Amino acid sequence: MTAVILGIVGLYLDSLAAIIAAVGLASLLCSQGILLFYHTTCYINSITVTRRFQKRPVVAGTSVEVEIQVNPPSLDGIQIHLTDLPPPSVVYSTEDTSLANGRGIYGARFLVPGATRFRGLRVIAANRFFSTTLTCTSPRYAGDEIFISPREGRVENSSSSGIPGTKELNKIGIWKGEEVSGFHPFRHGDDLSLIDWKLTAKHNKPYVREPSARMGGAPLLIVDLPSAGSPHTPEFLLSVSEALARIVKERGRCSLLLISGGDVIDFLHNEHDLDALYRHLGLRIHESFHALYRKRDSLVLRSLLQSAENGTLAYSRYYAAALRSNLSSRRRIVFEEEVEHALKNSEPAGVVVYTVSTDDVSHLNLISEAARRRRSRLVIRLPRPLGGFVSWLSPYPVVELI
Amino acid sequence: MQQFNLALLGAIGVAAGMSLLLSGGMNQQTAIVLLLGMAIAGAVITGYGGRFLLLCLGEAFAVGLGTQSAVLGVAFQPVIAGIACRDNRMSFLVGGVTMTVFSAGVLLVRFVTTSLVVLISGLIGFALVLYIFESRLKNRLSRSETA
Repeated sequence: MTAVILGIVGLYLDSLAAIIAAVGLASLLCSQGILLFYHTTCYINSITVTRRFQKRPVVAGTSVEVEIQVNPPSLDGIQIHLTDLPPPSVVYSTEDTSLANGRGIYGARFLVPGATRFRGLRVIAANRFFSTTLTCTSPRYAGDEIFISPREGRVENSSSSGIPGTKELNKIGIWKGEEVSGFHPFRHGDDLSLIDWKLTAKHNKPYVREPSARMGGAPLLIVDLPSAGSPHTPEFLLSVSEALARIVKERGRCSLLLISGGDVIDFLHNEHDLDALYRHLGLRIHESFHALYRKRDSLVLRSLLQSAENGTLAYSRYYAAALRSNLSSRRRIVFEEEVEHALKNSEPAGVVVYTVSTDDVSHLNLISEAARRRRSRLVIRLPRPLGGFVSWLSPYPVVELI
Repeated sequence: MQQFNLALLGAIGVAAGMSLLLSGGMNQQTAIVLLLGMAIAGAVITGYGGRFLLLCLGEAFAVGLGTQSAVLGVAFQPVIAGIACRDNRMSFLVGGVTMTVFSAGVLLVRFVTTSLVVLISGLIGFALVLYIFESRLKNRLSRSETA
């Protein structure tokens, strides 16, 4: 650009000297650009990348030190800055992955078990005038495939200070498939055929059975992928991966519906390959774009309608009319259709939803309604710190804290 | 003082002297050339402004020399290459040769407009070639991921 300006000034002044200077400057810049790419190509073609782990085997969820060595570390004529690119489902500090003199050590936490591969190496090459950033992802730079071992099942003690209406798990992510997994007091919307009359007579209030699976097949797992930067992502992904591993081990297959808020991302029907399930889990973490705007469950709406109808104020009458209209005229949205389709195609063994949603639980309410329509048992599992959001959820599912 | 800086100061002194000799005495243009030469010397000694200021001053000095004598302007180009690429011998060699050859090409053409058209089209062409080359390199390095 400077050379062009100098040239135009030269034309304006009709000065040959200015044109000579402009051409000289332009040719200097061009030669340096060509040299940069020549040097960079030579460097990229000559390097070898070696990665080592502090301990083997690498277990999902545990921190491990990764050592990376790049030879040669630099080349005469260009400045090189190297950064390692771990797999997408790894928690690490981006500052630590920079290499000094071709060598770097950083801590990484692999979240998803199964076969995975480093993404490669980022090379920033620069000389005095130009710089270029190259992301080298071919196998030569990404290295061989590594296997992340699944972690053994975690056992947590249940605490008595749970949130009302919730039950804490002893074993995380297990779907046993027994006929009855427990009992809970009757709530609005519960199936009347599930009332346990013995317990009801004993406690003098209605109790219902909690069937863990209707026919003992593999449950449908719905994973609400956390958005980027969610603080509970590591624990969440660990629980999901453990649940997937157990279901595939026990049932030989698993149906997985991936959602992100109100968006359906993918549906894997009766998948046998655990690695394929893990891959889907690790790669699709992004922001949800379609909020459902505080959709309340129809059970909640009906109870609100009942209260509003009993009200004496004019406001209550208007409110009741609005709720009545909402309940009668609601059309299903695409998300509901997709969830319905997934439920129809999977085995009628219940549905388990994993989520870290805190801002809007409308999609969970829609899933609850779909499960209730099909009379499937629904369990929603969410990280312990998010237990406070239970009050926003439909009363139909059992909520478990992980 | 570093050897390079001494050589640079020497080259500027020689160029200024030649300019003085060619003009046959002190006139307005010679005074500007001498002033620019002194500015470069000051920047070299104090290190003020870094290499890019030196590059700009060098080109301005070359324009001044070229006004006195076009050959002198061309002959000063390797010194500018030295200012810009002093830390790498290959860069200096390639830059110096390219600058001298292309500026000498302008002397052969002798037409300002033609040279300017060639310069602009050359720069656009070069930018395109560089862009295509970079894209192909990036594609080659990430081939397996897209495959």
